[in-house]
Amino acid sequence: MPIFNESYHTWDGYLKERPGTWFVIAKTGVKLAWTKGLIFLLIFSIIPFFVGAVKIFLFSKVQDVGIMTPQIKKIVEDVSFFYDFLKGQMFYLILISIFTGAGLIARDRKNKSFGFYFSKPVSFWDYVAGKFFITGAYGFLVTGAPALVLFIIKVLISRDASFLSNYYYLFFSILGASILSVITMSSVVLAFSAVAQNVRTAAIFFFTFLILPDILRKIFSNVPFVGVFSLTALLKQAQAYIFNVQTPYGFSDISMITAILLILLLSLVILKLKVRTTEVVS
Amino acid sequence: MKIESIKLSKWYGQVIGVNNLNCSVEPGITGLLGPNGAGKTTLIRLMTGQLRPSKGSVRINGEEVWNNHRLFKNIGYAPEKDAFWSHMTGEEFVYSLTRMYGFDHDQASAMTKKAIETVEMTESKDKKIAGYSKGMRQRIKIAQAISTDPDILILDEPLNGMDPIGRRSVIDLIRKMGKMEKIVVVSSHILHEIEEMTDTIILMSHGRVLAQGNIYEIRELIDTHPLKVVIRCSNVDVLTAKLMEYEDVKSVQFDREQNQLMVETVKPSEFHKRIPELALKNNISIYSLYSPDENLEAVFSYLVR
Repeated sequence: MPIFNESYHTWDGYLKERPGTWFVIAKTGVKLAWTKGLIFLLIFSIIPFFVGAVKIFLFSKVQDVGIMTPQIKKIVEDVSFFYDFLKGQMFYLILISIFTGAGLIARDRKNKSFGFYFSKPVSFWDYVAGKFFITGAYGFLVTGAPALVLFIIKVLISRDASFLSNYYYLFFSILGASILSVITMSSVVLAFSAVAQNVRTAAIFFFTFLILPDILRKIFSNVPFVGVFSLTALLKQAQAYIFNVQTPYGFSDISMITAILLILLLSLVILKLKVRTTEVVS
Repeated sequence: MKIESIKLSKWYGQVIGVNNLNCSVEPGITGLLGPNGAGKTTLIRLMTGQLRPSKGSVRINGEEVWNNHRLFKNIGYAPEKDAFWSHMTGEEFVYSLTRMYGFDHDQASAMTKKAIETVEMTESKDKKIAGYSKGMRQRIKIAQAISTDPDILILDEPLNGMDPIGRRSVIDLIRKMGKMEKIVVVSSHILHEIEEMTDTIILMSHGRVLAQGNIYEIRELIDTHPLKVVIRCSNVDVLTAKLMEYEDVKSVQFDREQNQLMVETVKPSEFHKRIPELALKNNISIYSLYSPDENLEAVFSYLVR
């Protein structure tokens, strides 16, 4: 009987055109996620947007009648208003990520459905990108999208172009901060979804991952570095950094960037390990 | 067209899925047989490019299958598991998987409609898969496999859990695909199911191919188990005496009351040629002649057990 060297792999095939299958996966997923529960959640998440819009409107009226006080100005101060809005939407981003992302890979793993995908012209990257888009799209719908609409309302409602000329960069800050939050949150929830074999377990893992470090951060509030273990703290810190406002936590920017990159990398490694068709025959 | 496995091996850590396997599949229906854990599903996953071989290769028309997405477009595959995407309707399921081949909406819709019609699921296409019976799930899986009209169709245990009517329609469908010069590989551990579809088999056990080819030819090659032939005739005594003169006849048991004898021969082909000659020379009427172990079950039991 021959003895095989397990390190040897034959590979003389070649890659051929990809028909954008990630988009098919994404589109199908977005459509299937559109349930009553999600609609309710989206409606709930839009309340802060309306509150923000009213604030902007009232602020412009107050400006018109010229009774601006420092207290009023503080409520709708141009940069921190958008930063605070995105910070507040983090809660909804978590809920949406759990709702749309926890089952995305867990269900495929449970049902051993990978064969349906990978017997077609679908690569690992197509699969992950498709799944990522589903949770990312809904995540952006509760963070970046309403924030950008608020920005546009603010621009339109302003009496002159001074707001746009002074704060045009806010558009990119909103975009950058929300995309970073959505990418990170989606990556983590997909990684947990890939680890678990059912939706509930994935949701519990994800929620624990978010809550536990936050509790530790509060217990050890005198040790600022503990904050780098909290994903929500990291993202709020990153948003503050992008908006160039005072950072809420004591850990350094380098620690923050490194921790976020590590989380993204770890999520990718988990996905790479778990998203495959092999099963061990016992 | 041809699927070839050349010195193919696949390990899952310490566990061997398939081991140094050589086989080839040509147009027509090929039954992939073997007990549970034989390596059938692993071989199918290697053939469909879902797994990378640890050693050796799987080739379709000389092209490596692994990661060759162009080839994937020509392969229809229905996996064994039927607990899938229960939140989708049957039509959504077939449509979305068809779109993954790169077809646009109109093409994919037309293909989906045709495939669903072919498996006779038109009435249930708008129902959620969660509400499907096992047989309906099998059929919808086959629909997604045939939707693109692939030249290669690989079906892993396609008749599992189907009722007799559903089984009949799927068997007929598979036969139809086989007649269309397509390569159809059907895995099963239910022997009579395969026997109804084809005589060509690949018999696997412990990750190896034990036999490949026509069931009857394989049976003839099994020297260690002489073929049993049961003959009912008008003169049992004479025929028994005549048959005993031949070296290839290992034993004869006879039953005068029933005019029946059972012969064991190691050269079935020669034996079958000889019988009409003997009957004519000795004026014996042959009422019936059959072989109780010239079937898949016998071949399977002799080779696997």
